[in-house]
Amino acid sequence: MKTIKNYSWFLVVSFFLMMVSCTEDADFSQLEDATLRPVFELDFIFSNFDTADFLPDDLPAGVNFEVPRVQLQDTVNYELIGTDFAVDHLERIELTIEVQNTVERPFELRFQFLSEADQPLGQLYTIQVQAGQGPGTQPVVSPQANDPNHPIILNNADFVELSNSQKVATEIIAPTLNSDLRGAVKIRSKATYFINYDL
Amino acid sequence: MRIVLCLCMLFGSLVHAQNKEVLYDVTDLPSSLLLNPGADVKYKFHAGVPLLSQLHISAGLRGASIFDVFADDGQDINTKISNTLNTLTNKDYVTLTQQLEILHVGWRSPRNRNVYFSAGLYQELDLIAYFPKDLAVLAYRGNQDFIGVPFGFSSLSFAADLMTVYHFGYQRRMSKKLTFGVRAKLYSSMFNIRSTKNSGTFTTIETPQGNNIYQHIISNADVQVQTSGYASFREDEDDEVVDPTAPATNEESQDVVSELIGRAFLGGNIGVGIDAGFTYHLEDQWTVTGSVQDLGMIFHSKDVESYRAQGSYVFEGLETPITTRGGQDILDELEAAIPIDTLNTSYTAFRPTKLYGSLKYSFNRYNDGSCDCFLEGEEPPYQDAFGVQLFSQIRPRRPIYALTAFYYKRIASFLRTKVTYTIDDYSPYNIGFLLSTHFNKINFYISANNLIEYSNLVDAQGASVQLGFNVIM
Repeated sequence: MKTIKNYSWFLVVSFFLMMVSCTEDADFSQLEDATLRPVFELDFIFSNFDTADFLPDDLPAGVNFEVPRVQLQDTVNYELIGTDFAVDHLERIELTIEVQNTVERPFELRFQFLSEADQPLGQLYTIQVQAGQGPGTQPVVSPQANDPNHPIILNNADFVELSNSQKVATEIIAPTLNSDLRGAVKIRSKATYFINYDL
Repeated sequence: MRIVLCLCMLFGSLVHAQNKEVLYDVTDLPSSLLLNPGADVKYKFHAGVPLLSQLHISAGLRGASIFDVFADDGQDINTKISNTLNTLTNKDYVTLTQQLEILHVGWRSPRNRNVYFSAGLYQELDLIAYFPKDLAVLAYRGNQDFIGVPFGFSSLSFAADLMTVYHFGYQRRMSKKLTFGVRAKLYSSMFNIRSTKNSGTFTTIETPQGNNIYQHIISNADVQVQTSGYASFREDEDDEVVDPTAPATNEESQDVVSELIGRAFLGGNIGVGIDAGFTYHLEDQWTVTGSVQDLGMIFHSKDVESYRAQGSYVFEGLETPITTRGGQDILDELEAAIPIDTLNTSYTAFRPTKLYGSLKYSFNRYNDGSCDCFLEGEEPPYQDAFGVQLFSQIRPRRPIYALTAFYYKRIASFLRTKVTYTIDDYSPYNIGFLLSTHFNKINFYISANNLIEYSNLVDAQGASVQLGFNVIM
């Protein structure tokens, strides 16, 4: 009986000591306000259009020619926008395009998002490419740094509209070229993803 | 995601090893035999109260504390998370260890009074996860501010074991000075997951003369996660769950419990190991001890499933226009470059071996009957002792070390205490305390460390509690 009494006393003291441990001034509900806001930079489309690659064989000098549109179009799978994650957690995407041109002709770069069934979604985006100054010269860069429409910004309203987007179609609209023309159009681009993920 | 963040927060607040500095070499307690099979115990018999003889829980985190993030101080939590992320490094880690002694008995050999046998069974959960700093920074901040900076996959390193351990110990007093002991162990693993040898990097570099603005380079990636005891549960779940939102039925839960119990009783993956230790009395009052624990391994061959991704890949955007239509699929390219293989090959996991050592000076022996500080028939023991202990444990990246100074006091025949001061990875001022009572052969003890942080556990970087009941004769 004495042993039981002793241990009862001891257990009471032990549990009391354990109960006095506490967590001071901590507020776990703050987690509701925690957000992940990473910013990811990821390459977007790129292309190297060299006039020599499209010059028809045996074409005499000084002759105009057209590049068939089909040769300058492409569709690539691009599923990052057509997801619930984009609609729910992407704050915006900034598409930065940089086109370097040495061909003495202006071009136009177009791209549009497509559904799985190739249905166009959202707006058609167009970049005007200024004429270059010929091979061996410093490429002319488009769009210019002060272009108010650049970078292209996609916001949450766009993501809702593009929620079924699975592909992106691109096209370079080339003017009438001449067999004497030489130079290249180099397209480089990146997408900056601004994520806002409430935990 | 919330769970991931909570784990990250836990990194900032709790980390501890399996160091039981308060219990080590307290030969009044049978548990000391599990830390050093050569512990110089004097009793003839001991039996732990089943399931109550030792419960050990320790958790710890190096680098920060939960309080750093959740303190109610008016600061924005996102600022605190960011600051904590800056503080933590790849060397910081979280550990969680839990042991439950199911059975533990010991007896002195009737043929040779210098020999003491002990045997038992305990369940152990051991988890260590290093803070994956590189991956956490990539997830929390993205790559925009880290162009040209490699993110290493090697920062991902974790291991978790759930097992039962069957053990049998043999101790022999070789001479008046030397006591030596060994313990054979049989591990029965219920579940194991580990990913400890990952390599490779992900880097985004600027390429002014390249095809595109950047190159995103996965270089020599080799990431592997090994599991045992997981695939069968997953397959059962796949077979049974028609509606994934439906809660698990009682029957399914019982099946899982039955399966785990079966594995606990040698139905799982088996391993072997040994403990060894000694106590050496340099002089009457000076004592040196040392032990090695869990020198062994588990052979995972049943219900094994591992996942391994190997390869390199460079992404520089979507090339367009290309002269053939059809669509470039980056994910297909990535899967081809870095395939994820599911393997069923056996693997061996080494146990996290632990080492203890101590030097003790004992004093105050009342052998003139002037105090009621030892039991009748017992050789008058020293009432006080102090000394130092060293602890080390092998972990996936590097060993953990701890240095402890202690003071042991035998207040009365029924009450013994030990106070420790430990310097380790987590804290430079970790104070532990043991209280052990001995009434009519019934022993109860309770010990805890990090007492200074006890008043605010969320600000503690580690905490450990042990308690148990024993019958000692």
